[in-house]
Amino acid sequence: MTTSITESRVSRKAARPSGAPGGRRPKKLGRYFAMSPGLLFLAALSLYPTLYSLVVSFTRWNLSSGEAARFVGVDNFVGLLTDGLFWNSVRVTLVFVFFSVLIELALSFGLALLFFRGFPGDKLLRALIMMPMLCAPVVVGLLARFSLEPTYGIVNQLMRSIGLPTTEFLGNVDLALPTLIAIDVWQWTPFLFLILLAAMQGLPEEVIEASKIDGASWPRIIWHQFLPLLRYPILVGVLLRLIDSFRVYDIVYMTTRGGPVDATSTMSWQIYNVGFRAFNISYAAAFSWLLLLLVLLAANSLMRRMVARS
Amino acid sequence: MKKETNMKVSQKRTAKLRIGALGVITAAAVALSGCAAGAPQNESGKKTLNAIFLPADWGKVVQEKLAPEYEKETGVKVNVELVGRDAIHEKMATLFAGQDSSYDIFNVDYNWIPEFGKGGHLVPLDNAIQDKEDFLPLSLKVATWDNKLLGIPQTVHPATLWYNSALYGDQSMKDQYQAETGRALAVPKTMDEWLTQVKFFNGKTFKGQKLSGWAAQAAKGFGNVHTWLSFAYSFGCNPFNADFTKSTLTTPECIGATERWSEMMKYMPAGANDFTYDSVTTAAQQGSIATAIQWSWGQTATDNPSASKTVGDWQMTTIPTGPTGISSAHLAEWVISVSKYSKNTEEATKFAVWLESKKNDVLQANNGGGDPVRASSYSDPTLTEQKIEGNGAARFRRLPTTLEAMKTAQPRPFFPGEESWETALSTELSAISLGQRGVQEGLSRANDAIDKNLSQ
Amino acid sequence: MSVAHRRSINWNVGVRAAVAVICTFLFIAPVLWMVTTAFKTGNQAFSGEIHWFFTPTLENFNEVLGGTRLTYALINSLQVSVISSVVAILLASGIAYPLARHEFRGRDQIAGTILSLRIVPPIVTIIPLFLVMRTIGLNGSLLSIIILHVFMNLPLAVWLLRGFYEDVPKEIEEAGAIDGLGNIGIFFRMVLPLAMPGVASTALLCFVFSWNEFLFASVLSNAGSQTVTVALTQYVTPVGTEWTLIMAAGTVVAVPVWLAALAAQKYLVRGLSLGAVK
Repeated sequence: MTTSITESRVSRKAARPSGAPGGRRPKKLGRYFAMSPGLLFLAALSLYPTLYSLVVSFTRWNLSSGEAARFVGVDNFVGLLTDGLFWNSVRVTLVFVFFSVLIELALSFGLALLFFRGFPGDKLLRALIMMPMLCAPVVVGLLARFSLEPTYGIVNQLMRSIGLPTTEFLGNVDLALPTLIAIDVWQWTPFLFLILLAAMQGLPEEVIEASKIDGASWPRIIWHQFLPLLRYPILVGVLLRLIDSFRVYDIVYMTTRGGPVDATSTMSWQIYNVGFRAFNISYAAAFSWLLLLLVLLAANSLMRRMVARS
Repeated sequence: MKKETNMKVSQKRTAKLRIGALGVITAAAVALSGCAAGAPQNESGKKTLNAIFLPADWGKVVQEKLAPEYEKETGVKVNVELVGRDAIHEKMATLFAGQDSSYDIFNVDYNWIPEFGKGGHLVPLDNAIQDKEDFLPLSLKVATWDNKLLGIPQTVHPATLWYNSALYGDQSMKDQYQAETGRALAVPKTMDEWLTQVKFFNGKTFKGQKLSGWAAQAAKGFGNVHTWLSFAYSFGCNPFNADFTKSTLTTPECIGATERWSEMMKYMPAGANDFTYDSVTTAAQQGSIATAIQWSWGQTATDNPSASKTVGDWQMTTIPTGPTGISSAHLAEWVISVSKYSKNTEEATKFAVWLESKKNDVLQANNGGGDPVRASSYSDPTLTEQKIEGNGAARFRRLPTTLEAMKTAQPRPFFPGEESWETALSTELSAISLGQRGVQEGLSRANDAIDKNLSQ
Repeated sequence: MSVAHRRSINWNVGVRAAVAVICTFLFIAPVLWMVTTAFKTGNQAFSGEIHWFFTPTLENFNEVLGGTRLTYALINSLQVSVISSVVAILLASGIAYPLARHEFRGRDQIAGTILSLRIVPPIVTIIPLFLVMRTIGLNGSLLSIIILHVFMNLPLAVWLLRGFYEDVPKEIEEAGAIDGLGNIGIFFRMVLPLAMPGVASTALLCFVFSWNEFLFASVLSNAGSQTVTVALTQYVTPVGTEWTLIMAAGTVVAVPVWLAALAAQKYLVRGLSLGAVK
């Protein structure tokens, strides 16, 4: 992870050479002074839980049993790696994350391009388009269940009115995961849109002026000027979406509960099931360490690729 | 030059920013003062209990009616918080792990009694109730772990067979049924009769609604297991050996039950694999199903004229009998438990007992809070003689059926690992009903998964 | 600029506006449906056919807002989200600004570690965090929820703000130093205003994430400190059937966030680098 971040920093600096930072002593002190409250706060709240979950992952401990935790070595990890449900959840999660983030990025980039040059009423539309992101995930899940319901749901009613057959979006093994991806895309495209739009509005004016001239050069301007300058916001936006979609469970919880069968049983959903339904905290802790590992791997390789391409 | 312009604009923007910051601070201040006025406060010198109930009607009636009344009577204030089922479970586990005393009373789904009982987190209440004999025996049995009563039953909901009496009384339906099957249309007594009727009704049109044969909870998670259990128990299937050390889902009885359940699934409405309690209720309210397996107490919703087109039409009977003549419904029940970590266990116990006094058991049922737990309430005229306004049907016409069903109903497997058992079985049932796996294959996979969980 | 050119721009503006309207509609249609359902009776909502026109009823809203619980929860949530986002922005700026401005040893490690804090699923950390809060006697208080929401939003805020602060031209600081401003003065008077679109977006996101957060709020709150998402579970239960009520509650919960977005909208406008040229 660290290496790739370094790479992105280096290439970024190359892209925008600017004045060297002033290295006077008082400033240096000031910077540590500024950083310390936040860092101390993070450390205070993260060290203990992290150590705690690491220790717990090497024990056998059921929260509700009333029995003390017992050290079992790597039993939980071995158990996980030989657990079919674990591997299924890895597959489901990767598919979910890959497609939702990819589609969200493409859509939000397009939308941001559409909006940043402005048009009459753009502010109103921009406020409206954010609405899905502003809804609580619980509400979104309920709304999805209610809209996609085969008999009374609006989606099927509309589909029937144009002659399409009634479709069980959430109850069909092949459709459930794509439907969840669609829900995620609907809710979180505005998030990336917001970040990209804010970033595009901070672009140097030469680039923006150039982009205002319509013509054949449009795609070239986007490719050669926008993308390099927007690399950091895209990277951060995608990274945040990536992390959050790895963790997603509210929508699964409200709609399919991992079903039908185990078609939408994501890792976070499994962790929730193991940790909070069965209270098998130690297994859940080991599970989340593997999830953490997977997210770090994915984030790392993604960042490398993005840096390398541009 | 440019820098100068920059500076000016920047100053202007700074001014704007200050106004913005002022706005934020004002908003925060308003919010703070609003809270100070709004949050429920503890008056000094007054005893206060904190309780969590399910946001169902039986929780609402405690929050809105009974807790305020109790405060008037005794001076003890009870803060009742309503949170969803899963959130209660999560909260109890976390609070108990920290031996936390923030809450005194919990509304508990009886299937958590074994796990929290095993952990020793709940206060035994055996000596608290004086008239145990008035409570339905089964309702007490599922609140008991290790010979200790750990919860006071609040409401019971055995699964029952619902049928639309308007449909069953319709002359043209009767004639068609006679013509097609050679038998008279009557409320089904056996699983086979029921299947025949479900097949007959499925696809017919009644009062402008296209009918499905039946509906029941079938969603993955818990719904499909709950419905399946009524089939399993009536077919004589026992999912476990006697001491819950081995899963026994592949017995001929269990396979038979699952085959029938899976065949019946074909006659449910579109989207059935997602059906939860509310989908079934909605279908019943709209009159688009002929029969259903549903909790007894759900009848209240179908009698609500603002949401239902079938007010007074739904009747119920016990679950049809399986091949050996057994009818045994899956039991749902909620109990009231007292936390061992409470600093007021005595006061909390008093309140829990008071909530289920004879008078309050009837009062709760009368306010839509599920079916009563006391035998005497089932003959209380307040309930039995009540009619639906403007309809004439008895509002509590279901009570005799509930009482009958309570004689043979069975709980979900009553052992500490029930929630993970339900999860494992639910996945395979979902696969079976979607045709992903055969009945035998699905059950044996469930068997393996459950045995693996048990060994952990 | 020639007339022909201007016309082509106008035409383009028209197309863009039209496409944007269609896209926006796709995004808000489900929300619109939620809001209209909230004004329906149960029988209207479940008739199985679409009613474009119906007599709206306020019954659902009356019922949802009638009890004081949701109103308390709205006030609680407002405090939690406003305070936690302001604190998160302040703490995050303290970290992000030096990260954006200065080269120093361990910089990338700090940034990477901070981000990885967001990866751990809350389900795993909730129990130790609960124990911490209990030890310091804060469980059940709004403050404990605020602290955890700051914790939850800090990594996001640091990473977003770092990018936005980097985009602020360095010359501004020098100009500030010439005017005799100290570091803090330079940051609050010069840098922050310039980075406002980004800061406002970040603050809005923090606000939204805090407002919508469920697990921490659920485990740490008590009857007096319920937030809206926790209060919402009153309507979300395996035995709940009243979709119209749920939709009304969902609408009530969403409205403050929509208002916040509208308010932030003003600050989401273009940065100074553009304004200066015009």
